[in-house]
Amino acid sequence: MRAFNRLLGLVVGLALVGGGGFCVVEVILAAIGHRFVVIPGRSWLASLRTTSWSTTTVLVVVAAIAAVGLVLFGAETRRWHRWRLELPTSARGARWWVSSRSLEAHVRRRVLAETLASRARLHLVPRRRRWKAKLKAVAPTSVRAEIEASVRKALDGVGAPPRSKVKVKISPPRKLA
Amino acid sequence: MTSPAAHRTVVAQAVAEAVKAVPGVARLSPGTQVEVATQYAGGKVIGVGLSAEVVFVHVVVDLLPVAPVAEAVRSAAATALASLGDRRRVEVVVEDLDLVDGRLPMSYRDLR
Repeated sequence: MRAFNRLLGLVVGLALVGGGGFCVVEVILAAIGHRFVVIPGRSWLASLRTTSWSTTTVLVVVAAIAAVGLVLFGAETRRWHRWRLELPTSARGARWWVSSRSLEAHVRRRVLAETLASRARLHLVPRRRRWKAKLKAVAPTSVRAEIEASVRKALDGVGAPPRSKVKVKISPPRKLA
Repeated sequence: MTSPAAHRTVVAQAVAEAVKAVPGVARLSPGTQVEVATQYAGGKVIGVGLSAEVVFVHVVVDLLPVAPVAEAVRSAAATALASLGDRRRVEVVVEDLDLVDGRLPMSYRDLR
């Protein structure tokens, strides 16, 4: 993901530099009385002067931009999965965190190793004083207590806040034909 | 008198060395989001980020529970900073729990 971001940043940066360079050249040429060279400036200007706001193309473009803006706004205001969780500490002025993905993977591995669960998915939600662990597992319903105990043990072993809430949802395994 | 850039490098390297010596620290980590590192001419110290008031240390831990290791990391980094006359606060982020040979960390194996 980091490599992709860097590559994307490079491509976007080069595109902006290229576009900006063209604009600078065109502006300089226009200022000294030349015609547009690369950009079809005259036809764009004519089009802008003659196109009204009620044209279908304009309405579609404006609606699309508004939709993209709403999606971005929604994405920004949505509460995303916290990427790190703060661990409780009694040390004065000290703060430390643990990566939530790593911790979820660790607890999931513990559950799979210690119980009859064949699949498990964990989601840790930090609260003010304790965490909430939501686990979905594929296992016989009779081992629910065992799975819950395994999650608690794994969380305690890591040093999660005491009395963290554990919620287990079990789907029974499908029988083979 | 060292330049601010050279001082940053010295601080980051001292913190990194102190943290790597803490039992339970498998390695320093660049983090999972934007890379955490202190850049200097010709290299970088991965896992140590310096801001005006806080020194961030990102580690991978191979010992449970996490809290005592994190506290030891904080303490080691704070001692290294103090020896350089730096009084910045230290914040520790455990980026991963490392399993030895696909098994559990040592302390967990002892619990079983």
